[in-house]
Amino acid sequence: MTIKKVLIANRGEIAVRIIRTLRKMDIKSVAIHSEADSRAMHVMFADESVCVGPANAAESYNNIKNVIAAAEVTGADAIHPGYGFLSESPKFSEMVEQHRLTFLGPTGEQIEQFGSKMTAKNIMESAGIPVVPGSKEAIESFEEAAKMLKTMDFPVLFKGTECGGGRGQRIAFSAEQAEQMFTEAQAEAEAMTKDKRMYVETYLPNPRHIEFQVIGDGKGNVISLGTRDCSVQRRHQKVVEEGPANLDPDLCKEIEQKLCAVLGKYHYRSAGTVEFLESNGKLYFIEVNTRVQVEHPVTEAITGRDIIEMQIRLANGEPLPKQSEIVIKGHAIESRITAESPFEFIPCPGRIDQFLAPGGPGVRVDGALYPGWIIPPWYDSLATKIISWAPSREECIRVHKLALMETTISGIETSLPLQLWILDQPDFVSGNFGTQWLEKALKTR
Amino acid sequence: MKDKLNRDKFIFNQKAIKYLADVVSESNLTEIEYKCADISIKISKNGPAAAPMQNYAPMPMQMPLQPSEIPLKQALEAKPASEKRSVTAPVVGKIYVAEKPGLPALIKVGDKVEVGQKIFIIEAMKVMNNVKSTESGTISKILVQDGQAVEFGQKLVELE
Repeated sequence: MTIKKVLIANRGEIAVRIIRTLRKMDIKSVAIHSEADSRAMHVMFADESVCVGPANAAESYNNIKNVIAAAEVTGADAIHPGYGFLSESPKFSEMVEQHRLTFLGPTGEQIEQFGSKMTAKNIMESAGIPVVPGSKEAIESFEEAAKMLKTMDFPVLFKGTECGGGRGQRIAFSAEQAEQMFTEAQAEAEAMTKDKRMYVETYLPNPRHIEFQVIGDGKGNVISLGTRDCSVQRRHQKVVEEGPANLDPDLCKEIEQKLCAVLGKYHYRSAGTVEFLESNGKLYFIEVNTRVQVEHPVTEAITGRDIIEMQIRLANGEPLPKQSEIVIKGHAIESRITAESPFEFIPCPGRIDQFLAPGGPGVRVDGALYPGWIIPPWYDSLATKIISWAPSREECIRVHKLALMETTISGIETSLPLQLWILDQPDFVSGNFGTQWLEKALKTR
Repeated sequence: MKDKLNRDKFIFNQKAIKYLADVVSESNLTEIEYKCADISIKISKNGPAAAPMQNYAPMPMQMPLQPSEIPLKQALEAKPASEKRSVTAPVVGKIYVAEKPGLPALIKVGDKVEVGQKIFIIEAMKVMNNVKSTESGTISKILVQDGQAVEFGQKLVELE
C-alpha cells in the first residue's frame, strides 16, 4: 500500500521539515499540536491539524492515545515520530502498527534492543565493533563496581543505564574518589529514571563525537549515509554538527561495513544513527539513536539524499539504494540556533519581532519561526537550524559564517552570537577539538 | 470595561513615550528603557547603521520607537473572551451522541445536566470514553454531530 496521508507526531522545526517532504511527494499531512501551539508554524503548514492536549507534553505530544486517535479520525495511514517525544518509545511504535498504521521508524522490538545502551553495546561488541572498555552487565552496588575497577585504568565514568544528556553520571579520576562518585551518580540516576542500574567504563578525555547515519529496509539490507562530527557540545548537548567527519578512510569503511552487517542481521528498519567516541585514531561505540536526528540535514547536504523521503519510500516497499550509489560530496556544517542568551545559556522564550533567514547557494534553514510567533516556554529551546554546504570544509566555514551574519532574529535572545564566536576560534577552524573543547574555550573567553 | 482599561493604558503610554523621547533627544543618551509593572518602554535614538561585516553583528531592524511590549505571560495566556459556559472534549476521537446507534441522544437542547453526568461518548483507539459534564446548567447549544471527529479542547456544548 502506498502512503497517502501522514500524521507528524511532533512539533517545531522537525514537523515543518517533514511536511516539506510530504508536500514534495504529494502526500497529505496532519499536524498535531498542544493548546500552546495552535498558532505554531507546523500547524499552519499542514493540510489538517488536530489539537491533542494541553501545553504539558505528557498530556499532548506524548499522549499515545490521543495521537493515535488523531491519526484515526483524520484517516492518516502512517505516523512520522520525528525526534524526541514518542520517537523512541517501543510501545508507541508497536501500538501504531497494531492500529494498522505504518510507523515511519524502526519496529518496537528494534527500538527496545538498540535503545538500551547495554544491549546495543553487547550486540556491537559481538559484531567486532570496538566499545569503550567497561561493564558488560548492569551493576547495582559499589562492591560490584570495585571488582571491575581492579582491571581498569582511571579515569572512569559511572553512568545510569537509562540516563542521557549528561545526567546521572560522574567521573572518578582515582580509586579514592570512586565510591563517592559512584554513589552520587547512582543517586542522581535513580532520582531521574527510577532505575538504579549503573555501568562503569573507561573515561576518554576530550574524545571526538563521531556518528554514522544508517538506513535499513527492514528486510536485512542496511546502508551507511556517511559520518558526522558532533564534538562541539555543551553539557552533552550538540551545538555545531558537521560532516563528513575527518576520519581515516580505511577505519571509516571497516566500521561502516561491520555496522551495516550487524544492523542488517537484526533487519533494522528505517533511519538510525550509531554514535562513537574517537580517541587516538580509534573509534569506540557508545549508542544507537533509533530515529532521525536534529543534525540529519548535514548528511542530506553531503549525500544529496532526502532522509525523510527515503524513509517513506522504504515504507512503501521501494528498494533501498545500493551502498555504491551513495556518494559523499563536499562538506556541511549545521548550527543549532536556540532561544537562549548566547553565553549565559538562560532560556529566552518569547515573542519573535523580526526574523530574516539567510540565503544563497548552499544555505538551508530548517526552522519554525515567524515574526509574531511566541516561542512557548514548555518545549525545547531549538529555534532554528542553519545548514551550509560547500565543496570543502574551509569554504564551508566561510559560507556558514556569512549565512549566520545575514540572519536576524530579534525580540528574544538567541545563541547566534555564540555560533559566530565558535566559527572564529582557531581550534574550530583547524579541526582541533573534542567534546570538551567548547566548555573549556568558553571559560577563557 | 476591558476596552476602557486598554485605552487608559494607551494614553499613559503615549505620554510616557513622548516624555522619554524628549529625554533621549535632549541628552547624550542613545537609548532609554522604562519599566513599570507589566509595561516596558524602550526608546533608542537611531537604529544601527548598516553594520560592517567584520562586526558579525546580525543587523536587527530596530524601530526608532518600540511599542510597549506585551508581557510574555499575558500573551501566552491570552484566550478569546468567552462568556458562555461550555464543556470541551477531554480526548481526541470520534464522538457519539447516544449510548448505541438507534438509541436516543444522551442529551438534547433544554436538558438540565449536572457535573459528572455522562453527555457524550468519544471513541479513541477502539475504546469508548465517557464524556462527563464539567458544568451544571441547561444545555443551550449542541455544537457537534454524531460520528464527527473532535480534537482535544473542542467545545461540545454550551450551557446557560
